Amino acid sequence: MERISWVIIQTEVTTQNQIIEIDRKLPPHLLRCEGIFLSVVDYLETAKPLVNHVGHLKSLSLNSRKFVPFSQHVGYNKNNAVSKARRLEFATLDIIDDNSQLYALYQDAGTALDDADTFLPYKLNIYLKCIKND
Amino acid sequence: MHNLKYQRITVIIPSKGASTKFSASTDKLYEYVTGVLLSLPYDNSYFGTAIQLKIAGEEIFPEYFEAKILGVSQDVPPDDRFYTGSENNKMMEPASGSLIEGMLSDGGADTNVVFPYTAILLMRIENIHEKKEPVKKELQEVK
Repeated sequence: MERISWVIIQTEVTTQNQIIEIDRKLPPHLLRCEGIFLSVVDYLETAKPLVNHVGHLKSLSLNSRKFVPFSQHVGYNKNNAVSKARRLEFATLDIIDDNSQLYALYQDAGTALDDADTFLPYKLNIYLKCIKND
Repeated sequence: MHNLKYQRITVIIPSKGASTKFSASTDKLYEYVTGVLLSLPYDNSYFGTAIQLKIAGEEIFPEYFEAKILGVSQDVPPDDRFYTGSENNKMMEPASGSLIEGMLSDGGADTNVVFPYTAILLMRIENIHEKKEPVKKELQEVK
């Protein structure tokens, strides 16, 4: 029987417009990964309650550096931690091979700002919804 | 016997940033866990809060899995508030007295959050295969 196995890659954005390189070997027991999802973890006291675009994954490759067309934004809403629908709107990924390496670039948009226009550092979780055999 | 039951596990978060371990056994009369709902009392307590959960030794949510991914607003119909896996991989973990264990770690947001607070983890447990009544003798004799 197949079951979902979540892989969570944690990173931290500390400066405005920072580009973060993600290079992670995926666990060998996974059959495939079906989706990717980004989330700003922390509570941020942003000047604007809703920031639609905090940053985005600008490129992504799986399977020995073969790039797949990819772009996914992450937003933030300080007044609404929980949504009207479950936050599992995944961008679909390619099927991974054994010993796959995930390589991606995340770029901060510089929009996580407080009242004084000071950048607010934040933690970012990248969720991979993968499938494994029981 | 009813084929569906909701089993409630309460977890107390004593202070900002605290982590609380929890464990419980599923009801022995039910075969499968088919859904999980995590409810926190304040909207802001979802920020940064993480849940780790295992059922019968199988990892459902790894460390650092955010509570807000599981949270939905009160506008969502009650049945749809449960995490049930995905369309192709529906959650069906063995129940029948199996161990539920995990940890809830508060995210540290203190704006509009009062400590201590109680989180509720609701497990939907079911008997999927309905037990058939034995065929009555009179019916068997009908030709």
